Amino acid sequence: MGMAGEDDVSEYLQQNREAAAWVETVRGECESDKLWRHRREFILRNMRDFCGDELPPPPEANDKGLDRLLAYSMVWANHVFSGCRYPQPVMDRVLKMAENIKVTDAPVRTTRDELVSKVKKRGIASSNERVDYEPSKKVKSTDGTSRHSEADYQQSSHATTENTLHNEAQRTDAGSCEPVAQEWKSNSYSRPATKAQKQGNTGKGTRRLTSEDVKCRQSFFNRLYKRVAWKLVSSGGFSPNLNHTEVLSSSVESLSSTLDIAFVPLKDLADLPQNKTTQENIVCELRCQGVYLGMGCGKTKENAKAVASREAIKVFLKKKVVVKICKRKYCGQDVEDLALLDEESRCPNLPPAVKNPLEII
Amino acid sequence: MGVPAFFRWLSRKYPSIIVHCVEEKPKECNNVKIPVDTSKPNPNEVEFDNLYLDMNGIIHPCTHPEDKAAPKNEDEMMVAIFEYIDRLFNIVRPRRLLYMAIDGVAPRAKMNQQRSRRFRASKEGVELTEEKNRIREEVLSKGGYLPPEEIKERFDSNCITPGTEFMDNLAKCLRYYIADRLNNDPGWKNLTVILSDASAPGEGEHKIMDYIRRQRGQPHHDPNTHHCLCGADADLIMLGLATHEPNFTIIREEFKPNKPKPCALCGQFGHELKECQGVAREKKGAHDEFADSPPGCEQEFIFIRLSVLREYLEKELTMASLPFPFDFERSVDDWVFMCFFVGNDFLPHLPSLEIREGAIDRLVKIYKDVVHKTGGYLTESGFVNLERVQMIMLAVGEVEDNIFKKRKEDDESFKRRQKEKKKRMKREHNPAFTPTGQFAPQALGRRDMSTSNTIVNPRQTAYEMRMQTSNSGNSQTAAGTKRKVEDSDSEPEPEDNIRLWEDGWKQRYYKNKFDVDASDEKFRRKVVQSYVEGLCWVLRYYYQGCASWKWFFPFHYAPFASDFENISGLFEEFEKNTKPFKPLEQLMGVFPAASGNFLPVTWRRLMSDPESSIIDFYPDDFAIDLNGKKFAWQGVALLPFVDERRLRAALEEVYPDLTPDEMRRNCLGGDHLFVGKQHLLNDFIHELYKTNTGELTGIPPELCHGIQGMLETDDGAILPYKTVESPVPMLRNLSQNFSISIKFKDPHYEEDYVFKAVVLQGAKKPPATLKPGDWERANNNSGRPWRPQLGFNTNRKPVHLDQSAFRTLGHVMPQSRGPSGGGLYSSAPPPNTYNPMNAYRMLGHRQPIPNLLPNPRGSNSWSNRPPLYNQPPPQRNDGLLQNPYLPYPPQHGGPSNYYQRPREDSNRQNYNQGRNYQNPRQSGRYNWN
Repeated sequence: MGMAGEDDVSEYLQQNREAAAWVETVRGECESDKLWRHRREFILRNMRDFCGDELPPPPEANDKGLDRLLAYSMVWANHVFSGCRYPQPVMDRVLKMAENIKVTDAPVRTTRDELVSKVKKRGIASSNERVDYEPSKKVKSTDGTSRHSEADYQQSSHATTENTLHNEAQRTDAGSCEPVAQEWKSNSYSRPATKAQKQGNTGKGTRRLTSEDVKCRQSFFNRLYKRVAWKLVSSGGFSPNLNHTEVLSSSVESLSSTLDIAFVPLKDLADLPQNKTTQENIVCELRCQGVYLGMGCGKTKENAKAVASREAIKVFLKKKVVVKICKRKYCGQDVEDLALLDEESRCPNLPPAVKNPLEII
Repeated sequence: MGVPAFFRWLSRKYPSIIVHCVEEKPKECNNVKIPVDTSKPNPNEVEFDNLYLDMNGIIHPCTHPEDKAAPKNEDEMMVAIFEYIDRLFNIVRPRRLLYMAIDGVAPRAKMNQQRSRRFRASKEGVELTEEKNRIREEVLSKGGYLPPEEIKERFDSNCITPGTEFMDNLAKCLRYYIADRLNNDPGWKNLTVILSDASAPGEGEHKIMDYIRRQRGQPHHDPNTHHCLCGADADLIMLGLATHEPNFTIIREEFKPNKPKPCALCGQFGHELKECQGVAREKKGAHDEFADSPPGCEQEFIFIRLSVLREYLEKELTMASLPFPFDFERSVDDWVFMCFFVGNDFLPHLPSLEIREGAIDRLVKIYKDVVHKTGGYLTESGFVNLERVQMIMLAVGEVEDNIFKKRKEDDESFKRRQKEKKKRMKREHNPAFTPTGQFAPQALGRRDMSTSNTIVNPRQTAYEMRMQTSNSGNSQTAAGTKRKVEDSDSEPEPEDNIRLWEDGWKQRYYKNKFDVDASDEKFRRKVVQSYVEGLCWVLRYYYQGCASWKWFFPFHYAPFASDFENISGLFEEFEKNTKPFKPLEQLMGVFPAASGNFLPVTWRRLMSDPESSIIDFYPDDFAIDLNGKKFAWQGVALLPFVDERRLRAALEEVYPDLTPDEMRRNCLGGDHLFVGKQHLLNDFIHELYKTNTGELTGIPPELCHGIQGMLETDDGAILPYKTVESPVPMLRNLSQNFSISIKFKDPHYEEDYVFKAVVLQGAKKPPATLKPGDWERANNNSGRPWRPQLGFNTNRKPVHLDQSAFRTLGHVMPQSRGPSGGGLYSSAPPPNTYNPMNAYRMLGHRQPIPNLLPNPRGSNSWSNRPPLYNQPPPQRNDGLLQNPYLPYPPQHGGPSNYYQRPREDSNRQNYNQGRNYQNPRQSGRYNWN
């Protein structure tokens, strides 16, 4: 039944009166018309695989095949319309079954896991906060309705692989955070956390960080500390109006190293909430020599980068900088990472990593 | 009832319904605990006949307590449950019946709530364990100390669901417990005990109600039975009112907000899991005697007197000039019905009715306005008159718009105030006039006893403080510190896209909550119809028992009050002869896949196998709609509903896999009745076992306080002269058992029998507790002020102390009351007016009390002891401790030694003693009648 959409469904039902009558018997008593329209399409499209060429028996017959089909149709409907998530094998299967069904106006839901991770906030500095504050532990996040297309996502992750300041400079800001039309094919559609989880499972590193890793980097940062300090002195001390990015990158370059900049849409960062109040949907993470310096988010990449640099510079304002092994989240799991801290901060609560630290280091 | 605010609202509006329990504590002598003799009169000055325990309210706090460390294993949990019941028994001391009801399989209508609770609980449990492990590692890596991790598995509270092994085990343990107490506790001697375990279908409190209803319908029921029901749910109040029994009391734990919780990692108080540092435990008290409990916080109990609530309601609901005769009992039923609109376990509450916003008062007001027009009451014996309900609903609907607008306004002004408050708090931690340094105020009892911190050099300090304040005042004004930008740390609020306060709210609500257009009249009608059915079902459930085991409300949200148009035809009758789920079937319906370990292997596979035909019931994660609330646990969990047909079909295939034991657990059982040796019924039952008829036999009512029902011999019964084996290793077997048990069935009634919601004939109205409205008029002449009644007893005698008590007090009080040294200001004598004659209690009695105590010197004439008063204290170096003549020489470790300060200089001690001793009138405060 090569149906290409709802029109095909209604055409098919008109031609097959029996099928039309049968399919009404499996409608849920309290299902809204809209929900039923989509679920009906799902059932009709997959009917043959479960019940053979014959018209399936009425539900009272407790036919196993039919019941499984109904279960999958509910899984799919619960996922798309009520925001449920199921174990990955189930999801894969159902999304494949729904490959050709177009849903244009599914409601936006927040799952419990997303809500809970919002409560356990992890600090990402935000561009609309004032600098005379201590680093805030607040999270600003993206508009949940603006879903980024797959291509968009790849674009930004592509950018993270390049990792250089110069590349970033050429990027346009607007493109990546524009809300995409709320229409997607269900096969390319999957909730962000799922995606991240999958990556997390494949990219799980095995190497553990040692004090050797720390030691070999500490001397570099001791030198960097001096450079930054001089730079700050020469530009009149730390102030919010300073071009922090400029200070940081020139200091790093003067030691013939590079500042690694990674961007990612906020929604792709697992463990972060999907919040609808703010436009700040780009996250920027700064690293140097594999060591995490700071993170920030903002409306545009430029913006996010500025915030991240500011956060990084703040570390250099204390008496000393230290490289430390820290625990932080990556794709929902705890991983080890190297972070640059001032000597006083004992137990930093780092935001989740943008990239797997173990791959970088 | 899912309305935590209901009880708070009720107890604030009707404060006299609450009576604090008087509890006699077991005494300890030479480290031997002497149990309380519960056959003695009840210290609460009231005698209860029946005590009903809604056991789930006991099982939960005993198995996973919030305010203390969790029990280590199942045995400890059982013992904790036994102790809890003992404690309740000691307070209530029922004389006729103890009824214990554990939740059995619930009606389908409840399943959605159970599902959502269990899905959440399972996730929360996993998260807590993860968090614990993370912090444990962190603390240990920093060299902190933590008690070694217990070997035990995490207790999944989800196992408190009928059908699990845990519940089966619990029933066994309770049978043992009952047998033990019947044999050994004098208070249980004449008691009939009924245990309705998890195999008997129905929620615990409703099984209890069913029992009461069915006893009330019997001719031998004593209409003046005093019932006491234990449980914390607010709907027990409704249920109690619905019985129309004149003497009905509820006992529950007193709710204390912000009770300290121990850290889940190290078990210490004072910090949360997140802030755990792994510091070694401090000693609590000088000898670590307070180690187990934070200071003074043993959970206390309160009584809720429904007879007083009925008095209040009578005052509130009585209407004059009605077109039909006013019947208070009927109006109580209507009141109960209206409370359902605000929330219950089976229906979501109407969006416009929020208990915190005085929804019940609003409803009562509307009810009184409308009832003139309706021509009658809304309900009768649990049946709803929909036409009249419609009038109420539409009247609410008319003001709905305003309610939403008002809510928004209130919300905003609340936020504004919060913000201002925060600002204030930030600016100043405490007011500027609070002294610091050695003059700083200290909390009572906090003072470190070992360091005697008398004021040193007060002038100097005062001078410095003066200088300091003037300085700081200057600097602040001069520098003019810049104000920080506010608002940066306020929570980003989730966007409310319903905006009930703006036009078009109804459309938005239906679009957002149900994902349908407001034009979809058919759908909206369906929601309203389901809700109307729901109201009828709930009321019937409370007044007649479960009308349909199958019915449930198939949506996550309620419609608006204004949608209840033309509802009179929307409900006919429920499907008859529906059957409850079997226990294991119900487990499949309410458990998430993560709790599948409580189910047989093939059954649990249905919860996770991608090929399963019911896989859609078991999502890993689900959406939560905060619905205007702040926390995830307050929101609405959008869980899919269970399709009963598919569930049963899928289970049919795995039924053959059940082991005999699982098959036994999957059966629906009944209640069991237990009596002890002295009980009149004991011989009767024993006789039944001897003849072994195997048929149902009625209880002769005269043997059992008019309790009626059918008895049937039981194979696994507890029998006299047969050892009862202990299911808990740490408790001994009962080798000398005289108690007996038998299966018990409630009296049977016809299928369509209607239990009348009326006060029974012969029931005496309990004496009024509240101040009569015409008190002033009626008692104009006597001028007697109204004395509120504090306990159960109308004529409670105030406590009276006799002479010897005063003498005793005289010895103890000076050290505790007077500034006996060690205090901050002890060197300054208090002014003479310091201790006026306890004015606040003596308002009516201004005249000095006549010399109640005869001259102390005179009173000493009966003995040839040297007078105690004015006696020069011997050897002041150790204060009173050395005085051989003291009636109760305080000892070290005794209760009064906290107040003893040895090493004080004798002058001060003398002064205090003299002041109190030479003026016996001051003691008059203890003798005010």
